[in-house]
Amino acid sequence: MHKKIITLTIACFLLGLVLISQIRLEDSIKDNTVNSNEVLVNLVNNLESEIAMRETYLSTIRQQIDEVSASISNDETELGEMQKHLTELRTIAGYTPLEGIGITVTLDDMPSTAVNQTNDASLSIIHYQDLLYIVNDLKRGEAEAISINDQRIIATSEIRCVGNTILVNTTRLAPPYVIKAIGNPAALQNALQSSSTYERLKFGGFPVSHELTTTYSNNLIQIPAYVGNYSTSYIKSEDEE
Amino acid sequence: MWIIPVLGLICGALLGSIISLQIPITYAKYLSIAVLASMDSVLGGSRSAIEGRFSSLVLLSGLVCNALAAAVLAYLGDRLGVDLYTAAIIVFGIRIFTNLSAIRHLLMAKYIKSYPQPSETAKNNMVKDILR
Repeated sequence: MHKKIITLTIACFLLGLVLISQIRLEDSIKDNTVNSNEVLVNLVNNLESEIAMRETYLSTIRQQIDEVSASISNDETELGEMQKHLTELRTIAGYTPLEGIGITVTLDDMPSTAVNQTNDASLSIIHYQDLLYIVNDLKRGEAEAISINDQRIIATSEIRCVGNTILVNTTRLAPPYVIKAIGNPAALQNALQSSSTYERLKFGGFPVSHELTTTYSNNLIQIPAYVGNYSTSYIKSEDEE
Repeated sequence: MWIIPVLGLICGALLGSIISLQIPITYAKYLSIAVLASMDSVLGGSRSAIEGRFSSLVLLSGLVCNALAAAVLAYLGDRLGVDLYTAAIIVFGIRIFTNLSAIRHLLMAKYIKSYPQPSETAKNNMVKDILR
């Protein structure tokens, strides 16, 4: 009889051992998943705040350069001429904040109430292609300066998608997407209304709208300067040879 | 008498939480099925002890072999693309519930006078020995 109790005890002992081991193993698996997510989220947040910090620093330095340049340009006539030319080029290239008349286009994802659960969710959100095509259509309408959610579009700006977010100038955007373009308002409106992308979104039930700014009175369209890096490594001017 | 196996269970749990068995995460799935097999064996052992047809050899061999066989089968199923893991869970699940309800019936038969006696085996002396 004692032998039987002892056997049962041994069996129970083994059960307790594997039971606790398994519970601890499962817990450690859950912890690992949660931890690695947190680490990644922190990494992204830290890097983004670092980028923001450096961009602020960069804009301060650029401001100082502008001040110095302005003081030089008053001194000598030849240098002043070059300075004026430089300012013009910088304005065209997108390194100065601008304002003017033009168009403001607002695109947003469908409200979640309007989305049928059985439908493909990707049909109810704005994709990077939509932004890309509309920006292109505005360029067709001779837009002189364009920004998306205050990211200035310059010659090297990209509009791309990583996972489920849209990046412009390597900065994450969130809906609603506000595209501002400075140019002839009528031409921009024509270009937008003949845009097949805009038409598709509008008749597809997306909350899209546009607003014209036609007079230089007040509430001009404000387009910020490009704040990112513009160092080059490979390009070479032919004149320099 | 029944307190000793419970103490054994607690001791095993304590030992398991003090020393950490280094098991690769890949094998977590197979360990979980081994745990189910062990639970089944222990419950089956308790039941047979109450019924009076307890055998040490059957219990220990069943515990080790069932746990190993379940883990090996689950692994084999993964390699073959057949979900034998689910089959093992269902079989052990059914057996665990069957054993639990059998134990419940046996205990009720022992302690509740008006409850009908389930079988002759339950009247064996082992019942008194184990439950005392």
